[in-house]
Amino acid sequence: MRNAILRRILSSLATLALTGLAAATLLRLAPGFDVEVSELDGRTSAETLRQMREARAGEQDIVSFYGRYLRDALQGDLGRSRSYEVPVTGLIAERLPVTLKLIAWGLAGAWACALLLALANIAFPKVELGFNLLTAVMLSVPAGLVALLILMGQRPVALGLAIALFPKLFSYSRGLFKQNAATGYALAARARGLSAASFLSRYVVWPASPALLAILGLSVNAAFGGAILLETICDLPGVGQLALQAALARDLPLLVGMTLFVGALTVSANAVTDLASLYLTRGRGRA
Amino acid sequence: MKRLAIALLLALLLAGVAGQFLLPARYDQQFRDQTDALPGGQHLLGTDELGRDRAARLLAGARVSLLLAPAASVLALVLAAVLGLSAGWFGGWWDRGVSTLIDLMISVPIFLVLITARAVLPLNVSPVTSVMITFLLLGLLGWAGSARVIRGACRTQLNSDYILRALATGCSRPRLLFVHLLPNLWPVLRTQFIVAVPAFILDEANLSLLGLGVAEPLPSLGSLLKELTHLPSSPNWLGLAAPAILLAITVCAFEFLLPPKEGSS
Repeated sequence: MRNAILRRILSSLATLALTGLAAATLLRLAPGFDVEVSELDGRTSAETLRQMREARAGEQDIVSFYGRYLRDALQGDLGRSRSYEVPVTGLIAERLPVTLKLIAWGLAGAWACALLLALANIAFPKVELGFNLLTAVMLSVPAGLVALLILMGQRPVALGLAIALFPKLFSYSRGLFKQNAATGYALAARARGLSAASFLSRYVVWPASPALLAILGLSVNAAFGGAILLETICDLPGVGQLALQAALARDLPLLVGMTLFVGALTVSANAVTDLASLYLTRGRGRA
Repeated sequence: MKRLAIALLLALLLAGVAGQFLLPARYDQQFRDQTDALPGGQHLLGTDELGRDRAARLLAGARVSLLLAPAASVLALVLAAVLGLSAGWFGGWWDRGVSTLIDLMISVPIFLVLITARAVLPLNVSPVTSVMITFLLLGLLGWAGSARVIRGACRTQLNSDYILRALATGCSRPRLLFVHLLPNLWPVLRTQFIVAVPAFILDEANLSLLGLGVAEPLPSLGSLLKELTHLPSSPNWLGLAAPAILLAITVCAFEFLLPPKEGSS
């Protein structure tokens, strides 16, 4: 178990480091990276131009730029945003509570509805067609459209995130529950007169918990993606909105910082849920 | 249901392609004396605030989405198949490398990667170039999930009895790959393609809503959604809601094309 934990942590750290490097490389190779609009202004003096180019000289070599960046990041310094001209750490810290609150409420709402309706589908199989139609329709709506509707209806943004996340979580949960409900031992238990509540909790939900935990980790990732859209369209000043603004402004330090930060959160969430899932599976194996 | 979905998608594609010949106006033609017109004889879904025929724009948008999303899916599937198959086939360090790459792509929200990649490329490009960039990015960045599935399926097939039997009887590696393995992986590849198309249509819609997708005046199903913000103040609800309805129908139709197992789980 200890080895598995160590392996998972090392793998997460490697993924994280590669994520940041990929972001830095992408930005460095982007057309127009080392040119600023102000350089095209004929009124800019030669001295100012020289200073501007010198300021960016450290960003020319991707590897050395990224190496320096990682060293500072480990000390809590993610650099200075070029567009906002303030420390990146401060910008993220300022906006993080908004996004975390949005994601927490969105995930809680989506998971609660997904699990309850998936169980309802198992308990009442006759309404399967209705659930199928509901899922198909909800899967067909882009998160951006949900955000627009939330904006127009003046509803809580977290509701929009929950609506955007719900259909996939419902589909996965229902699939797992159906699989468990159809196993031989579950059918035998039911045939022996086990109550519906015990059947659902012991033979349907509990065996699905390791897989559900793994999906929980992935859903954090999806929630961040949804948060970018919802925060941007609904004008919520969170990390997602900041990510889009950083991308549009080609703000390299901010964007790499954001990618590393969001990557760290999602990779950690995945690692924690994977380890919890592993713990559950191994515990059952021993039992 | 599957046949109905195929018929519906073909009808939409046909309408998209033939629409430019059947309708009286092009998608970018302006009728400046008929801005924000209600649905009527000349304009089936009315006109937008610039006086452009909404029906023509809707069909042109359907054409863009229905032609280019499958093209992007083919690109993503080729990448996924090459990486997933090679990882499953060769195993060892190559498998570990590809798996790490897949983990890397999956660990960061794909939408963050998409907006980053789209934003670092020039935004003030011609509409046709913007379409190409958008769908090319979707294809180039959207392969990871499929690659993981294909790799897993490849490993499963390689450990199955029929492959071991073929190897034991002296079957050559190319024959094993092309005659035995690939035909058995075909259903997986087909399913991944069907899963990718609607996902790319939705991703394009999301990018367009942020202003990073298809550029004006070329429409796509996604870019037309932006006009829904006028819904509370406009009496032409049908013209405004039509792109959302068509988008939902298109994506739903793809959902019904999935094999029952994937569709229900």
